[in-house]
Amino acid sequence: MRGVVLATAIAWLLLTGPALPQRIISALSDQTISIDSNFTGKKLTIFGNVEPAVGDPSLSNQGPYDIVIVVKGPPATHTVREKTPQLGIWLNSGSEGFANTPSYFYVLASNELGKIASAETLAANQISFESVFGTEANAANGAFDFSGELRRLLSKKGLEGVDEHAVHFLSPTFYSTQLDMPANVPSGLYLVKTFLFANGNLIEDQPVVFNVRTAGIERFLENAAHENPWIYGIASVLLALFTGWLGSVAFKR
Amino acid sequence: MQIYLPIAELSVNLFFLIGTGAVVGFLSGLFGVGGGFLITPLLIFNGIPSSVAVASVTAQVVAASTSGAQSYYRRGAIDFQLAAFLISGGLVGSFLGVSTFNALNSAGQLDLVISLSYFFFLGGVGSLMLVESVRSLLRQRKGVVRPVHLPGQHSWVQLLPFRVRFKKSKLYISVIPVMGIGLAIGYLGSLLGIGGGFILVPALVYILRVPGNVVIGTSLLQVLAIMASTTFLYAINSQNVDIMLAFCLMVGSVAGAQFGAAAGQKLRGEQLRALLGLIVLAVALRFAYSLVVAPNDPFTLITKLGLV
Repeated sequence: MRGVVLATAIAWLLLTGPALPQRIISALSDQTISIDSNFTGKKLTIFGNVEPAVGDPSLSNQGPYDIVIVVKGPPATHTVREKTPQLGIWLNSGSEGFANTPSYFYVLASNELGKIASAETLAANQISFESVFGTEANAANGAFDFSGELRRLLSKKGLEGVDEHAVHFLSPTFYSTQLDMPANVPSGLYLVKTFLFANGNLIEDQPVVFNVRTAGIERFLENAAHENPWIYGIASVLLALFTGWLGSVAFKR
Repeated sequence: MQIYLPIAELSVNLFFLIGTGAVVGFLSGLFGVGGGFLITPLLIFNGIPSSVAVASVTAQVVAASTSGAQSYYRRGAIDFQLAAFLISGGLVGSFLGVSTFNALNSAGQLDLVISLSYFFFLGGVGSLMLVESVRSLLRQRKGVVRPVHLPGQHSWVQLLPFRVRFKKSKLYISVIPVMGIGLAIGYLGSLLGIGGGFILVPALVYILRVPGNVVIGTSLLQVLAIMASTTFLYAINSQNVDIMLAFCLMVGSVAGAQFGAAAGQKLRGEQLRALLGLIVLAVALRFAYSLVVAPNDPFTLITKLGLV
């Protein structure tokens, strides 16, 4: 606490501007995660500092702080299918689609979410799984409610999770945490939103982004397959013909 | 050593892929078949999505049949005229097969249809092969020598119109059954990720009476053309040809086939067919198992990136 007071005092002395509440400055250890041929996952460090309030003494000293970090992967459509036995054969019989939902969803917090803020506040800021994947709406209009299964399957793949004790304060204002990205992370743009809470109130939220993308020949092939499918198709056939021809020449069957 | 497959979007052991290719290549050289009907199931059972497995194996079959077709071409053992009619039917079949595949995939029933088709199809063919070869092995043991007996053409084949003279095969037959066979093989092959040589050869021999000296070369050429067109169709329609996967399989299988062919000369035809029948049956039973036994997790998740 003394650090905050001191920092506030110094800022108070140095700056004379409009009143500003506490702000968070957040940063990531990597702006880009490259998936190359031997990618086995990656630990991403997310860290930042709560900057003191400036200009208005009534806004200062609002700590102790709580930090919640929500990481969302690129949008996707998830389809959960259920197999049931019919006439002795297990076949897909029911399904539910979750369109325009994150392909990756992780919540990291410095304390139990229930102690940080009310469920309404968390839901309003899209911090809970249910508020992002729209469980209530789906349960109301569909015969199936597979959102629980979706959550279980995503978390089994390491693509969903909540860790309420992942964010650590190294000083009263400096926080840091690590995010585990498994080997099967979808590529695309990720949004990291850091929420600063104090006494159950949201003070500020701050977004930063990072990119996950395939690198090298994998990236080239993936792009070619989706952007130039004709050329990719012709090249695949030619490669197969050439490999076969080379085989028969090399071994002189 | 792990290798990342860009279209399947997962990492697989490189030696597993090349090893699978080599083992199947060995078997295909041994039995004179393409091996697609073994590779596709092996990939599916090892966690490669069936949509990617089928499409990528078609590219592998192109390589395997190119190798084979070339050696038959050098010996002049291909009836190009017959192949042209087979292929024209087969191209229609492969187009229909790819469309069916895509429709099933979006309906979520692709795995079911693939498992059922493999079960019935391989189960039937495997049993026939096994019964037929065991019978002839028993006959030989008893010392009964029966001449290889090919009766005259079936009457219904003889009666069909649009007859064409195939000089190399010394046949004067209607093109309807020729194109029909091509279409059926093209359809099944593209849907199931198999070349179909192991059905095409008996069909050419027993239905069309194509002579033995050109039947394998001609069938290899048909498989080559149909699988090339199927690879291309998958690449542009569903974009699920994983060339990295296909290439690893090709390298293994093209090399393995050479050793298989050498080993095959030491075994008798009936023994080979009995052995092949057993393998085909085993694959069919494996599919039956996956259909009948309760899955570990009845729920599956498919994620497709992008906004709708």
